[in-house]
Formats: sequence, structure tokens, C-alpha cells
Amino acid sequence: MKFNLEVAVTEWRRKMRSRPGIEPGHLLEIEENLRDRIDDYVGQGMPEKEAFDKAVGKTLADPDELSDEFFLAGRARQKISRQAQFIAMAPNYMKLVLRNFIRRPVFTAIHVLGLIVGLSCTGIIGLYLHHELTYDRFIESADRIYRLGMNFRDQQYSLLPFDHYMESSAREQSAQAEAIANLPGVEAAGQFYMDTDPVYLRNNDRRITSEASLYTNTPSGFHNIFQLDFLAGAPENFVREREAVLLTDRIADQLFQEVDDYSELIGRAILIRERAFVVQGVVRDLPDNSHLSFDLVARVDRLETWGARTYVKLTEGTEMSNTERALNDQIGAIIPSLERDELFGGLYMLPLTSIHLTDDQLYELRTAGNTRLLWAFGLVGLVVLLVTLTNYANLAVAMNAHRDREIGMRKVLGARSRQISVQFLFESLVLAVLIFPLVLLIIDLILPSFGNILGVDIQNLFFQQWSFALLALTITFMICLLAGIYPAWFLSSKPIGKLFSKSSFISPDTSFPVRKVLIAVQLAMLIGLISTTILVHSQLEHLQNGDPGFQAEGVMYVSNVPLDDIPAFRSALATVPGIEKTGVGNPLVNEPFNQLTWKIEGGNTIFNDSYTLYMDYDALETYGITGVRDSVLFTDYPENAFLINQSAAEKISRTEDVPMEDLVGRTLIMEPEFEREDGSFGVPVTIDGIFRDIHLFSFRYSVESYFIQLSKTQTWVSNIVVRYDPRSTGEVMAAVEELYERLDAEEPVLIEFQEELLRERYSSEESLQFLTRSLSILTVALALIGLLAFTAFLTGLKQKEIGIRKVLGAGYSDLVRRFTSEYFVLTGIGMLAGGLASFYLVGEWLGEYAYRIDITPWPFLGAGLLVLVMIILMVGLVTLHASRRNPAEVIRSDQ
Amino acid sequence: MASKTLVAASSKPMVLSILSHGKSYGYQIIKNVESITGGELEWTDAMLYPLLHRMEKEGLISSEWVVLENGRKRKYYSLTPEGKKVRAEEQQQWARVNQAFTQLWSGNAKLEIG
Repeated sequence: MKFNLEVAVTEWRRKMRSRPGIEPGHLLEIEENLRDRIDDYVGQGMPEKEAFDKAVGKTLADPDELSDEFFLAGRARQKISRQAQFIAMAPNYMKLVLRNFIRRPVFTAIHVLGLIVGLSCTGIIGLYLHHELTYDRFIESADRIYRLGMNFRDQQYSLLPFDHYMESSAREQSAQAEAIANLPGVEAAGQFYMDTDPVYLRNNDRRITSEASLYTNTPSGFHNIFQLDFLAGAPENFVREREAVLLTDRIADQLFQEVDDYSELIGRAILIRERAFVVQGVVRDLPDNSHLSFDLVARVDRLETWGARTYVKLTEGTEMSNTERALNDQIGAIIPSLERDELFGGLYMLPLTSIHLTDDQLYELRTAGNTRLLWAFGLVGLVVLLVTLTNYANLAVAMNAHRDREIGMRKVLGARSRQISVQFLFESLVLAVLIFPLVLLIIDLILPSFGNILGVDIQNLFFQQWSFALLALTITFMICLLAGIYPAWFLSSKPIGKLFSKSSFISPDTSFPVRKVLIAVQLAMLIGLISTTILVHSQLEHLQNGDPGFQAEGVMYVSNVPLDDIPAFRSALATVPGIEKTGVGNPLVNEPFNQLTWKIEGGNTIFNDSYTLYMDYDALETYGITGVRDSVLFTDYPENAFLINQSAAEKISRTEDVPMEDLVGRTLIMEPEFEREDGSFGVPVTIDGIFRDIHLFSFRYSVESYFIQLSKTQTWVSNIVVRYDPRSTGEVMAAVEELYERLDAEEPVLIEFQEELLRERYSSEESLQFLTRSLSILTVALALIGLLAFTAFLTGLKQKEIGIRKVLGAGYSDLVRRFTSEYFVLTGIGMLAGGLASFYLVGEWLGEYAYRIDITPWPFLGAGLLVLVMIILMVGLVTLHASRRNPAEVIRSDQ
Repeated sequence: MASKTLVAASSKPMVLSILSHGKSYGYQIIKNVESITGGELEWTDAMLYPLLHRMEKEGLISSEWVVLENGRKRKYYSLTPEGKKVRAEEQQQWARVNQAFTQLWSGNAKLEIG
């Protein structure tokens, strides 16, 4: 073959071009050099081929060396440090952020809004959890303070009885406190009694109601332990002066509206229950997350109660168990009567900081928190956060898919993938800074109503403490970074070539399906949340709609009527239009109270599960309590009668093998361990009838043995039970209040409605329902909007594909089916994972209830179907919208 | 053959000096260097072109593409005023070095030795 110089040079040029570092301008110059050389050699008489080969060898002995030299020449400028580079680039990054925000306002708004809502939710849940978990920690050295409790029968009492119960003298009471204070390791001991009946406080002519009055006979110990914050007055005076009282600032403001300076109140006299006290201090109201809550602290010599709340503060370094042992060793010196009591099971010490989350203490001061509910809150908070994160990441990738070319260009211009990542992370950080104030503002706006529903006063610590604000900012940064990592990695790691090829993002061959995993996780969480919501809702319905076995509608309690006035008051009530019947007896809705042991006479089994109610025949009728199988209990009314419930009757008939009908007339021994003076044991009562089971407590507990002690005139209790026509509730209430005013009683009236009390039984369940319902709606909305925007984006990118498919004859339904098909599988996976999690958690929760719904597959299938339908509707609509466009136009454009 | 360091050190003043005689192009410069040193210095393209580019960037020389009668193109380099100044400085420095060597090697150098 004849040698062609031009062909050889072209071939040489092509080879040279592929070398990095050599630019076209350089190459042209070198080529001219080559040609000059060849011309010289040919001029010397060399053949063309030989001249070419020699010139090539001479011109570029080492091509690599050439490119290296050129590279160095190109980088002759000074090297810039990475930080300086970032700072120099920051305005550019910022410009890109704004440009991308402005270019797609709707998608960006959805994107950012999702993040804001998710973060606000998490913030609120975080604050609530913090509130619940830091009960009583505001008290100084809270970790050294304990409350004493007593095991008695099978119950745990949150207070200690006095040696002679109600009849204990002031001296006996303080001796008990002193004996405890003298135990080794005890720094201080204090006793108090909390009166939660409403009482009148009087300052001359002004009269206000106090709902919680604390009386203490050990002011020194009390002050040492609780360290109240004195706004005026001195603790020494409270400890020293008799008849001293401390008012909280809240109650002082009400009682002395005209006084601005609290110190003017010191020495003023007020009346509590018609008894005079001298104000010796104004203290700051305790925060809401305290198991204690009071309007005033009054100093008295003797507590008018059968037992006192008893607290101790240990000296530093003292082991709690040592003091607890000493406490029980010396029980004979502290409460002598308990030492001989068979039912007494020892004293124990409960740490102050665990009081709130311990829920089995009898006569607890404040309804205990529910640990399970807190776990639920934490879990749901996590789910919301995860949905927010996945949503954000998904959308970010989808929205930035358009930026393939931007990134491609930047890479061509020398940006390293690290710089691209930095760009995306920078965008996340800008976002964090922008949304942070918004998140805080939303939290501040929503927190009060959120707290209202849950019945707590949550403080917005983000606005109150720097450390919390800083923590929130850090978390926001981290969440934004976390949400930005996936898109940053996804977009920066692609090789340049791919960035310019047609929409690499939507091509189906993406080997690692991070996006699909994210969507499946999201669907699982959605389905889990929805099915949990359905189950919690049905259980609550089940609880609330259950028949308690007594009249609830149109029943109210009127309390605080002086005992002597009750007969006259009832006759007056009888004349009020709308009132149908009144009686006197224990309210039927209650927290568990003290149980008594009992047995059937001659029987061997002693039961320890009885609750006894006291009432008159009218109350029995007002409550609508009937005999077993609706039988009539009484035809004539003896002075006293004793009824047992069906559950108790069944227990006896089972253990003693007697038919239930034969039990009427038999004798029951109450407190069989109790030895009487004549040597016999217990208190005998004759069974006069068996009544149909009532649910005295929440449906969470099964029915135990309930007894009713009936009498014609009830002197044990002073609650008046009123049955009225529910249509005239307002008039009846007004009439009752007016009649009560006429009594000119010393204390305010207390009116409660049976139905309301019944609802309060399930406040914890209602909280859970509120939580799951509101957050699942929110999460579903978040996820759906995210998915919607995501799908809209995808189909936007697939315009051309859709156009071509349409040209080839695909109909709408084909398209919709094609684009929704992947969701069937993902929803299936989500249903399995989410359903299982929900099944397990709800199962655990339901296990606590004596009366509960059965878990069927339907809630899970329903939740899955709901999610699927919503997705298909959404994706379908978006696809439909996209496929409406004229395919000719879509295919013509190059993007 | 001159050592690599010497080639590197002398390349810049060499180019400046050649161009001080008038404009020239890459291949011509290589040939001139070869002929003026009697083949002692043999420059490669890999060395020369990046050097030319660097010097251009430093503002010592300027370049222009010229189309020849046969249609081929050639990139000519010439000194800028700045380049002339630097060349003069380089000349002084090298002259001083040269003078020192000439004296040392002449045999009548007055040195204090020992």
C-alpha cells in the first residue's frame, strides 16, 4: 500500500487528541512543527514514510511527558485551600439555591412544607416526652428524696397510716415523723395531708375557691425537702409561727387583687374553712410537671386524716436500701399498731422522680403517667420523622433529576464530585437555617392546644432555654443534612457521560433500588399507623360504648352539702322540675380504693378483692341497680341490708360448691383476720341479695367482688345522687346551685356528671386515640403529597415516553396501569411489614385490658387497600394529566 | 550533552535571547538552538511548547498565527516590552557568571587560597 502522508498525519492527530491535557490549540502548533520537520527530512532526500516516522519520534519522544508539562503550565496559578474555595463558591451555591427555589415554587413549597411540618411534629412530641420524663426533677436534690409507702393486703398505699388512724393525737402524729427523721441516713422527714375538696378562702369580703389545700404538721421537714421558692416572706417564719400559711402566687393574685407587692401580704389574716391563718409567705406556683399541686400550704399541729403523705430526704451518699431496712426494723417505734397487723406487708421507699410513672399506688395525688403511652408517642414521633426524611430525600432526588445537565456542565468545567456533594449539602444547610424559625414558631403556636387536649401544660423550652434552642438547631441541621445526603450522593456519584445521556434517573435499570426501598418503608409506616389508628379507635369505642351496668345518662352528684342539711336539701331538690329522683351514696365512678378481705362463714378460702359501697335504697334505685337477671331485689325495705354482686356469688358457689340461689341468708365474714374483743374473728354480715354485675372501674379491669351496704338513712357518705331529665340539664344545674347558695354553707358545692366521669375513665386511651388519629392523618397527608409531587415529577420526565407509547397506540388505562404497577408490589410489602408491627404493638397494648376487641385481619387489609386506592388515584390522575398532552409536541422537543 | 538542570535553567533566557533577534516559531527555535550550540543542546517539543505557553502567560512573549502562502499555519512568537526587560536582566546575570568562569579558567585569577 502506498504511504499517504495526509492520512498518516490525520491518524497521528486523532491519537494525540485522546491524550488528556493537550488542547486543540497546542496540538495544531505541534502538528505544524511535525510538518516542518518532515519537509526538512524530505528535502534531505528521505522517503516520505521514513521522514514521517523519524519526525514523529523526534517531535514527541514522550507524549506523556508533554501532557504532564502542559498540565503544569495550565495550573501555573497558586493553589487555593479548600476552605477558601468553599467561601469563594458560597455566593454561587447560594445563587443556585435561590434559582432552584424560584424556578419550581410549587414543588419546592411542598418539599419544604413537608420538612417543616415533620420537624414541628417531632419537636412537639419531644417536648411532651421531656415534660413527662422530668416530673419533679425541678426540686433540689430530687434524687435524694423518697416517698414512703405501705404494702397492705394486696395493695400499695401512697401514704402511711397513723397509729390510731383518725383518732391519733397531734403528739402521736409528730412522734411518727420524728421517729422517721431519726433513722440513720435521713436528713429530713415531712408529713402532709392534701385536701382536694373545694374550700372557700376568705380575705375580708372576698371569697375564692381553693381546689387543693396542703396541710403540714412538720413545716421544717417539709421546707427542707421541697425547697419552695419564696417570692415574699421567709421560710424561718413559716417554720416558727403557728397558724402560718403560704399562698402560691396564683392564688395570692386572686385573693388580693389590689396588692401588687407580695411583701405587703405578710402578716395578713385569711380564713380557710372558717379558720384563721396568717400569711407568712408567697411562693412560686409549682410547674405542671410535678406530682404535687396545691394552692396553699397551711401549718397545723394535727392533721385531720387517718394517715399522711410522708417524704424523706436522705443525706448524700446514703444507700436507699439501708434506710428502707431500718424503716421496717423499727416499725414498732414508728407505727406500733402495724407491727401486729397480719395484713401489713412492710414499708417501702419510692423515689420522688419515679412517682409520676408508677401507676399502682393507691390514693395517688395525681393520675399517674402511662409509660406505654410515652413509648407510643416516641414511636409515632420516630415514624413521622422517618416519613419526613424519606419524603424529603425522594423528592429531592426527583426534583434535582432536572439538574443532570447542570451537574454535568460543572463536572466538565472541573468540579469534583466532592464539590457537587458540598453544593447539595450546602443547600440542605441553607434550608435548615431558613426553616428553623418557622418550625419554632409553629411549635409555639400549636403547643398550647396540644397540651390542652392531653391535659398538661407543656412549656416551650426552645424559647426558654438556650441549650434547648441550640439542641433544636443542631437537630434541624442534622435532619436537613441527613435528608440531603442521599440526593447529594446520588447525583454527584454519576459519571459525566451518564449525566448527559437521556434522563438516566428514570431509566429502569438503576441497579440499587434505594428509592424503592424508601417508598416501601414509607408505605409500611403508613399502613402500620393507619391500622393502629383503626384498632385503637375500635377499642376506645368498645370501652366507651360498653354498658357499665348502671344508669349513667342523666345522673349527677352533688357533694359538699353539710350532713345535717341533707334531708332538707333533698326535699327541696324533689320540687325542682326536671329532677326525677335523689338518693345518698358513694359515687359509682372512682379510682380503685381500699379493698377488704372476706370469706363465707364456714368456708376456707379468704378473698382479698372486695370493694364495699354505701348507699340508701333511693340511691340504689337512682343508679338502676337490679338483681341478677333483672329480678326485683326488695319488696319490703329493712333498716339495713347487705348485697353482694354476681361475681362474688359465683366465686363462693365455685369454691364452696353451693348453688348461687342458696347464698341469700348465708353469713359473710368481713376482715376474717381481725380479732374482736370477744375472741371471735371478723365482722359478720348476712347476705340479703345478689345484684347484677356493675363495672365500678374502667373496662381495663375485670369485675371483682363488690358489696353494697344499704340503709334507710345513710350516714357514712354525703354525696347526693340526682337523676334528672337530660333535656333540662342547664335548668337543673342552676336550680341546684341556687338551692345550695340558700344553705349558706361554709364550703362551695361540687357538681359532677356521671357521663363525664365515665369518659374520664378513658382519658389515657383518648390521648392515644388523639395521637394516632391526628398523626396518622398528618403522616398520610405528608406521604401522599410527597408521593404526588414525586410522581408528577417522574411523569414530567417521562413525557416523551408517554408520548411515544400513545403514538404506538397505548390507551390511558394502559399508561395508568404501567405507572402504578410497581406500587402494587410495594404496597404489599408495606402491608406485611407495617401490619405485623402494628399487630404486635396493638396486641401488647390490648393485653392490658380485661375487656378488649378481637384483632381481625380487616384493619390491616383495609389500611393497605386505602393506601393503595389513594396511590392509584393519585398516580392515575397525574399520569392522565400528563398523557393529555399532544404527543406530537412532546416528542418534538428535545428535553 | 548538557545536563538536564542546565537545560532547564538556560531554556528561558535562551528563548528570550533568540526572540530578541526577531520573531520566530517553535520548530525554528529548536533548530536555532541546535545549530548555535553545535548540537550540544537538543530541545524536545515536550519541553519547548509548554515553556512557550508559560512564558506567554507570564507576559514575556506574545504570539500570533500567520497563514503561509501554501495555506499552512504557523504560530510566531515575539518579545513583549516586559520580555525585553527580563532578557536584559538575564543577559547581565549570565554575563556575570560567564565572566567569573572566564577569569577562573584563564589562569591569572587572583584568588586567596589556603
